[in-house]
Amino acid sequence: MKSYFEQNDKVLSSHHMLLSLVDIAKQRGVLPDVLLKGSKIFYSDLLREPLKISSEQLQKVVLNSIKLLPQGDVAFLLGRRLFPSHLGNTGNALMNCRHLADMVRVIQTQQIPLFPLLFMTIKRHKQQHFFAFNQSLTTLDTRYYHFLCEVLASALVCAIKWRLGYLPKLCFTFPYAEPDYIEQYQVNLGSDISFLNSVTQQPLQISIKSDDLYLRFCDHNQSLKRHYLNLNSSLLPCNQKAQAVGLIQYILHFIDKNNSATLEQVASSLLISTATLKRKISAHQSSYQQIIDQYKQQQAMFDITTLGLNNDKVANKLKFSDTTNFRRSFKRWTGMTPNELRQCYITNKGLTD
Amino acid sequence: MSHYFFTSNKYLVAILLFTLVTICSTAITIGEFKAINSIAWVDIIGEGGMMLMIFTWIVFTLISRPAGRVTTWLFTGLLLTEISMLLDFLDEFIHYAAHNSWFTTVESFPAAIGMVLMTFALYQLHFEQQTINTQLRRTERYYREHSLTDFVTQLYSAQYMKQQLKYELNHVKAHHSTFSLIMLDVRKFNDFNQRFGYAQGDFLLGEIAKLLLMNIRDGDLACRYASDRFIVLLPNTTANVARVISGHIEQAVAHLAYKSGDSSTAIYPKISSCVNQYQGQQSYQEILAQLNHKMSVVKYESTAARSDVTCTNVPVSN
Repeated sequence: MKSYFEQNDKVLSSHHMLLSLVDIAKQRGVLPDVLLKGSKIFYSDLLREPLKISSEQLQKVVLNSIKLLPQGDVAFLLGRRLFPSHLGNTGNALMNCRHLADMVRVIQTQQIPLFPLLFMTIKRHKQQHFFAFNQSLTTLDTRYYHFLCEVLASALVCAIKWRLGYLPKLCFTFPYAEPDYIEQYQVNLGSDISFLNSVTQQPLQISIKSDDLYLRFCDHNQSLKRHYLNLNSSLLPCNQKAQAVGLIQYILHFIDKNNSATLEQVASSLLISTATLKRKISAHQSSYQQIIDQYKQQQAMFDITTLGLNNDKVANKLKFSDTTNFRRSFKRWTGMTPNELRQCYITNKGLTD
Repeated sequence: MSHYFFTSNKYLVAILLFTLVTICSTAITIGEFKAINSIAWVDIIGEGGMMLMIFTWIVFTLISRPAGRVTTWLFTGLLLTEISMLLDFLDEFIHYAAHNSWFTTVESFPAAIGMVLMTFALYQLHFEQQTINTQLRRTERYYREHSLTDFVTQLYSAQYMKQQLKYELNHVKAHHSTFSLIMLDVRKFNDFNQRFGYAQGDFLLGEIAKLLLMNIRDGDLACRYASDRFIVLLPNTTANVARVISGHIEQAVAHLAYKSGDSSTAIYPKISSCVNQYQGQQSYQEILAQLNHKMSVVKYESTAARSDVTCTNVPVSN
């Protein structure tokens, strides 16, 4: 059993997003087979048995839906429907959590059944939690990536509203330019939304006051929560400790755990040759160096803009041999030096326009 | 929808087919085919093309218009023109004997009558369109673009409102006047969806949209902003007047006893609203962002106030 999946591996459950997408399109007057055109999925098969689909197939359907229903609300509607009924046991487990922090723990362990295509990393600073979401596979079409971000954000807002009864202050930073249908973001996600279009390779970031994470919900049940989580882990094949994650996610995790990991080390942990790994990464239109750069760039951006660290400390943290080297790399990643970036944040409060 | 109009015009479809078949069969019976080498292919392409185009016009008329007087006039005019075109086209293949040559001499009459009838039909269509325009007031201003309508409520979408806001801002700057915007948000809409289903949610939005239209003035424009949020543009209006009107809408919606499907149990939806007045100093993006922010604050206050009563959220230690 592989410990990773790629674009064309059929690992995603069809009921997770596809069925709702078909349903929404049907409600808007689009025939299911028109929506599924070109994805090699047939509506009759979807109804017959639970299917597994690949990210590639989902991308085709999502792009079809964007073309057929261009108002931009589909992703948000989909996100609203996701929680909790389409999430199976994990949804039930989430419904029995004590508070948001408890839900975050479940989300971390249950990423694959919940949202296999984006994964979360958490940082804390000054009574504020920062959740960063990166792609577990590099999606080749940006519209598909935006769609996934919208679904995730809308599902999170819906879940928080449902469990807490109201929406606490959340700040969203989307790593792309403001879309035409900004009204969908405003209405579905609240008013604290910014778009980061001058620097690429950043994650979708959501921040919340740390105190809000520990507001206790009216109803919760720890034993039920454990029960549903046990049901989930009993579904795993017995020879496997954890579920497969996206290839890029696997590599980013590996880099995070083993500082200055080489391509050879990653390949050997995946039980494949370096040449094969290289080929697989380039099929994602990326390279190992790009993945490492993305990792370091994100760390550096956060350390500089949010933590306010100086160049020496950041360079040291990221294991650069000296600060000049770090400054040069940073300029290559973002098009500006660390000091120019700091100036940006001092003068106009960020890179958003 | 197109299927629906097609069946409602089924007599006209029958007449169309009958006429075309009769003409073709008569021509074939009384005439005889020309030799291949005497056929003018250029003429066939030109006349055949015109015949096909007019046939397409007839089909579009039949599938896009409900049955009625104007439709019948339009159809008759087009059909007569089509008859002329068809006769002209058949001439290219078929040669008529001397005693049957009347069949070709009459070929231009139907088109002449048809053109007169179509002119009359378009004159009637003008009056029909005027009636429809009054039905469309409050949902449309100056400019029509069917691709911007919202599927669920049949109102125009946010995109249309942005266009109109741009227009209004220029107008306000030039005339030193003012305008107001009302934003309305259906409360607990997600709960409603979870309980009664998403199809019912869409119906509810449609009903609220109708109430909204009934409670605004001519010259105002109501659009669906996104999801459960609506926006109304009130030209030449101060915030005070706008507040009164938004109060009327809130009251009207509060008295709506919505029935889900066949059930006779009434559901009373509630909406929150906020109002802002503008002079034209800001861009439309700023205006919309500001209004949405105000709406979030209003919503947050109303829900937070209620959740204090039903459940106290106390921070606990980690």
